[in-house]
Amino acid sequence: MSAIVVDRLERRFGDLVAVDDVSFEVGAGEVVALLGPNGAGKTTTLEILEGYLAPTAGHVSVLAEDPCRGGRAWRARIGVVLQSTSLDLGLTVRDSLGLISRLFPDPRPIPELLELIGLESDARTRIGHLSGGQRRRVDLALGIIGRPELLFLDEPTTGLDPEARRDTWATVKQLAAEGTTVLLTTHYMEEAQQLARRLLVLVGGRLVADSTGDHLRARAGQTRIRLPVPTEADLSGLPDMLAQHVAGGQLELLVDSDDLPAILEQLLEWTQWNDIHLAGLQIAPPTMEDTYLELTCQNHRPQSPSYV
Amino acid sequence: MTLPTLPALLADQLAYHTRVLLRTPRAVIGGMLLPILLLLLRNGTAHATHLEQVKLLAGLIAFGALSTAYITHTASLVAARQDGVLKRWRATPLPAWCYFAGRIAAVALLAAIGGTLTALAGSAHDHLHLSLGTIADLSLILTLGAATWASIGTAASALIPTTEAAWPLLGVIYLPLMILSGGFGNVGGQPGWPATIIDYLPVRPIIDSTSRALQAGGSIPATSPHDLAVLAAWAVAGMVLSLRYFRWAPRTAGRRRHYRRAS
Repeated sequence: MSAIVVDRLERRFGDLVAVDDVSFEVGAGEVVALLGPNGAGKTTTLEILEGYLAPTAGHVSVLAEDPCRGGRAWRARIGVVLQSTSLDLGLTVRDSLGLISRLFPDPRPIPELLELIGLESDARTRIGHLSGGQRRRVDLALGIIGRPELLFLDEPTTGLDPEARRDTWATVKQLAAEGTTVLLTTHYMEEAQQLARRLLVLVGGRLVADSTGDHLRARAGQTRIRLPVPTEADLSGLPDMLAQHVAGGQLELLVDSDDLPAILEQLLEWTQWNDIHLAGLQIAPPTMEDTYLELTCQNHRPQSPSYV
Repeated sequence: MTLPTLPALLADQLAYHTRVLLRTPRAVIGGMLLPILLLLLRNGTAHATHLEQVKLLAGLIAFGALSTAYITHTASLVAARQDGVLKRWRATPLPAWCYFAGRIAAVALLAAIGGTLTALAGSAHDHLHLSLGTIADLSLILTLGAATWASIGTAASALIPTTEAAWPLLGVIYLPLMILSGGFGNVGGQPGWPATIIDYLPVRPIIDSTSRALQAGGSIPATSPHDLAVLAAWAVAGMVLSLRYFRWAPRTAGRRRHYRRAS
């Protein structure tokens, strides 16, 4: 059964189109990342699914209910971590968690939450005195306090240091392992790969890809070649189509997989002739970030969604 | 597992919002200390008649109550929306009406306490008799008045984009209305039609009812049917406009700039 169903969703703000004909489903227990550049419509989509905004057209269903009409029982089944911190700065961490926990039928115990976000020693600290990263962790705790079946995370690790980011990932993975459905937005490709099996890419309000990370990379059909080139190396023997990709002491280019053997042959011949070590040679599929950037650039002008 | 009961949620909200208000300097200074300070700084009341003293005191009591119910309530609502706190509440299973009931009840409670303190200070300063009946009457009037103004303020918050804009936009309505309604003493030379309009705006009914309560000492109902009707009408109007225009989320003009225009 699908936890989320989005069917031909459209949302306009006056004459501005934020979300345009978007359709997808998220199965129960799935972890899905919604990616896209700023203004792609990620947060608007999330806000519609959370019940903050009504669609201009189309239909959405979250845990089998229309989010705009979801009552108390429905709200108790979802968890929301907003894009920016949304805390009463005058309350202590413990008071803030206590206040929200009393709204749910079966909240997580406060000590368990404090341990989960690593703020046991700051339980009596006012939120206004916490660092930005610590406040973000309190935000996360408030999002999961009611043991949600479905968790919305809007850029949950923006502003966190690497250690705190890893801790947040561990928490989300633990929730996913317990069967929580997660829909998250992020600008970090590593985060999307770490947490989500499935990626949705929005560009200009349109869904341009709905696939796994591996499929997206494979779909590019290209291979990245990287080779450190000594500054004193003689490039005259290097074919032009390779030489033009040498910059800053490195040769780097993306080639179609079909052309790879011929290009490698030329490159190896040149390195042998110039006595260049191959220790730093890398031949690999493009990174997730490369694929994402290519996808968002290609689809800068809206076009039909493509699925892999 | 069952959801918490509504009375438990309401009690929790009342306690929370009362705490928030009590730690807000604007609420304590504007609603409790400033009216008493103005009362003590007032000159020339030694030779004022009993009725004049009572009317001035009633004006100051209303001034404090409205400061809490309108200025503090609305400005803090705008701040909570701007900081995303309202959006966070909306994401919880707390019913919206429960949030507002708790918030408005806390405002009314604080307005009633502030008004009673001002009345006690006035009673000591001007040697006025203040019975328990008067205090009960005052509490009722101020609770009604505060709830009305909190309702108006909730609706007005939809028009106020940021915390910085809150005070000037609220003050430009509140202070002239207080002065024209006689909150700081009689306004002489008013032509007939503005006086009639003022009668139907929600400040004079509070001042008049407070004044009657201070004079009558709880022996007669202090709030006239006209005052009650005016306050109720404004409360309902505020509620209807709030239901239509209230926003939980801050304005997102910055985000919308990114979106493409429809072709």
